[in-house]
Amino acid sequence: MDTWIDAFKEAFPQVPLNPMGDMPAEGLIRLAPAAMGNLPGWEVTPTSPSVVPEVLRWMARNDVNWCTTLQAAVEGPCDVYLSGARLPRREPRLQPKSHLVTADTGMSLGDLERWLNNHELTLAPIEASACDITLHQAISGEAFVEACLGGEALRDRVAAIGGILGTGFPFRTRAVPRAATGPDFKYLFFGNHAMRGLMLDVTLRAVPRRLGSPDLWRWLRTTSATAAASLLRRLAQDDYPWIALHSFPTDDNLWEVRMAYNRNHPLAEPMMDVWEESSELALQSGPLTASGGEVALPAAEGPWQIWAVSHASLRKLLGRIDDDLQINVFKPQHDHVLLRLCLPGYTGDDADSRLEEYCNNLMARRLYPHQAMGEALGDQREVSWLHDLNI
Amino acid sequence: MKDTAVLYEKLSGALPPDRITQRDADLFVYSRDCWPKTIMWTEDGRRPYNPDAVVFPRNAGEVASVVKACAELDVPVIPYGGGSGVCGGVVPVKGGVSIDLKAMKSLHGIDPVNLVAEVDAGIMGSHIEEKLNAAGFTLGHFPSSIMCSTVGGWLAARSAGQCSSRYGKIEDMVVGLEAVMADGRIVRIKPPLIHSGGVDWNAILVGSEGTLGIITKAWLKVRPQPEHQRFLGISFPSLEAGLDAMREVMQTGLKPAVIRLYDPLDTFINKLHGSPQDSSLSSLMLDQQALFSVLMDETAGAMKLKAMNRMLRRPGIINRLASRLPGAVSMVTIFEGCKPVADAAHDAAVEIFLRHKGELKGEEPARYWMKKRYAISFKQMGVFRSGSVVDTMEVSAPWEQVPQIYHAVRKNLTSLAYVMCHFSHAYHDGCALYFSFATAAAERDAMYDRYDKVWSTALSTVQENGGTLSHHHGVGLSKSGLMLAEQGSLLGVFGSLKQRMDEPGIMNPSKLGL
Repeated sequence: MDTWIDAFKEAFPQVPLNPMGDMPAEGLIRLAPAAMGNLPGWEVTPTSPSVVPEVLRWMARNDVNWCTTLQAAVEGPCDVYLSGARLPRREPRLQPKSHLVTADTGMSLGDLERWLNNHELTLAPIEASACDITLHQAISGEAFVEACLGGEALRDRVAAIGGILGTGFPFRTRAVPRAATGPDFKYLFFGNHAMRGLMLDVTLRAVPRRLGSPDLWRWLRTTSATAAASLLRRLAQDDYPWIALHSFPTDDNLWEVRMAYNRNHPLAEPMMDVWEESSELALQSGPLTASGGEVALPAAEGPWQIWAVSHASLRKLLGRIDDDLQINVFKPQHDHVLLRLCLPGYTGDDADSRLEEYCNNLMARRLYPHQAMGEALGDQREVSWLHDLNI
Repeated sequence: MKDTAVLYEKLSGALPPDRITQRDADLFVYSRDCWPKTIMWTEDGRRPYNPDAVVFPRNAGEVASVVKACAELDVPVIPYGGGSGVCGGVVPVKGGVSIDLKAMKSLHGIDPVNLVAEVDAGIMGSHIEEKLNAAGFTLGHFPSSIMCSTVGGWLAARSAGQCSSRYGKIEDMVVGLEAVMADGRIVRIKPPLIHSGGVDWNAILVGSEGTLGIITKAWLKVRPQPEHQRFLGISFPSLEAGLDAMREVMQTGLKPAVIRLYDPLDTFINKLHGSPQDSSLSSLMLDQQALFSVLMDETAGAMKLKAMNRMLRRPGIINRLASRLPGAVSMVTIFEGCKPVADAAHDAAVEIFLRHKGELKGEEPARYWMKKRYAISFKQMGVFRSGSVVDTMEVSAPWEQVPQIYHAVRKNLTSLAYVMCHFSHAYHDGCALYFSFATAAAERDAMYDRYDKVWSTALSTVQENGGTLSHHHGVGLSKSGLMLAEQGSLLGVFGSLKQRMDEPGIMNPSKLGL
């Protein structure tokens, strides 16, 4: 019997402390039954944000090890599991001019997204299956969220975090843009499974949700996936405000790059409405979340898709894709690339003609450094513009 | 360091003798940077801090040898780039060895597919840009110090270039780093372009100002040189209208290379300064302000400088007059990139400006700014010789706080310094406020007191109103005392981190609040 249990209950009579087995299935057991033998014996459930610092300070003083995530629990040793899923989840606070939203980390991504939508904002396209994970799980287990946000890590949206250090002291970074006041300490807490502290609230950058702005889709046909990837890279490097890329096969051994851009607004429009309910288009998160820089794409049992929502993330993804190309990850029978573009500030035919002009210019001047791209796009006859596809 | 001979002998085991110096003139040069207080020290013949030696390594291995030697003697090491810092970040507070990295100045290569350049930390800003340009690329990083600052200095202090709204700050360009740690180990952080899990050590080393390790090489994102640029000057009826337009441009997802808004006083003074091209607006956009340009004109006569000094002793008069100026403000924008994107973004921005009652002033103001953007940073000495002091304070804040910080700083400095401001480095969630101030006092000691008072008043005002200590100049020595207020308990975490990473405690001591 752990000697600290009674002392804890005496110190915090209002804080539930239960044997680990009593906890409802919130994912921990379901996700890793094999790891159960290593899990801590107890679970503590914070009842309010204010009690957490006291609890953690007490644990620090009494040498009680705590953890908040599955990974940290398995790696142990841990005495008590502090359920991230049960962290406080008060009403978020919004700075409307800056689009900064501060939310408790016990809140789920889906709930936060819905709350933001009510304020005409959005976080990012969130895959339906990710809506139930909490902000704490998302940020402390960052890799998963990297998939959820379509290739952009949640850290790219984090302006500030607040929480409790392992010593029990509260900490808070400041939600100021691009400070030059030493290292960016937020990065000590991202993706580390709360090994250095527990994040209790997070301030995120949201973006406006542009309702009622239909997207315009175009298809560009190339002769190989490599050519399509090179096109995407070039577009990204020219800062084209595309949104996402996907993959599609064609029967005649050609590759189709699918482009869309927003008719009414220059902002890159998140794709949540389009994709969130589509399991077919769900990203297989495992391949892209391997740590240490090694890619381990599984054997393709079906098309795999990639999402990305920013130029930076496209660059990141294309860097990874290029590596993959060298080991022949692209398999013609499965893989395709779909690019969704958003053209700034123009509407309708104007946008269409500008986009076409842009691509033709690129091709005419043979700007593509990639040999395969030159082969694919050197001859403009191989490129055809198809009709709008409204999906 | 008491025994400089022992130090020299030790360093001689790490480097050839011709790359070690203990000459007094050299030690003097490396005792300071461009922090105005160090310039005041120089004017007054003061040398409160001196290094014990200066070395010039040519590669990371030599840096490591020097650091190891210093660790054995418990001697501090201070990385030194261009010496253009304005916060005393390289001032050798506890003596030690200043490591000048400028002999490490190569561009090792450019990955033209992923657009990544491998560069030495000691290369000067203008040189790396020239080399990249020759290959058809740009770093997109154009600090006003570009001709006298290094890549390593940029990384150490989280530098921002004038085009940061499009290209990002230097930390946004970092793909990987090489650094020498306190025990002499050379570490390389070269993650994949996509990153997940664990600590991103780039984010910890960047901005650490030499307190955790010495950055010797970097892998930086580069971009194709822009094929097309669109220039525009705009006038707005009020500061608020200008700020709202600026915010909307950024939150719409447009990425101007340059978007700079000048407060009413700055706008007015620039008008006075005049321009041969367009007396109404085209002279407005000097990188720093026109009045300071006049102040800093080294050809200005002694009488003029003396008069200016007397005027600056009573800044309240000028500031009160300034508060009665018309509220009109001016902005310049530059959009660049491939032609369709730059044109489309420019046109979208114009729609926003017009919606906020902006009056378009044509290309000339922005072109004039572009032409003059490096023109002022080298003319400060005349002001200091007149017995006055001029300085700049760059802070950032979320959009909600920007106006209140602006007004609060101006109000609280009314009796202490002549002050004006422009707004640049705009982002989705906020922007930087770049205050320029000038002041003077009758007595020299009073001058130091007033200078310190201006800074402490301004920075505490910024912090109280939700801004940060620095947007891109760093902390160094000058703001070190305010780091606890800035970082809170994380300063303790930083201290613990430093203890682990710098066990001997020799890496640029007394900086960043440590």
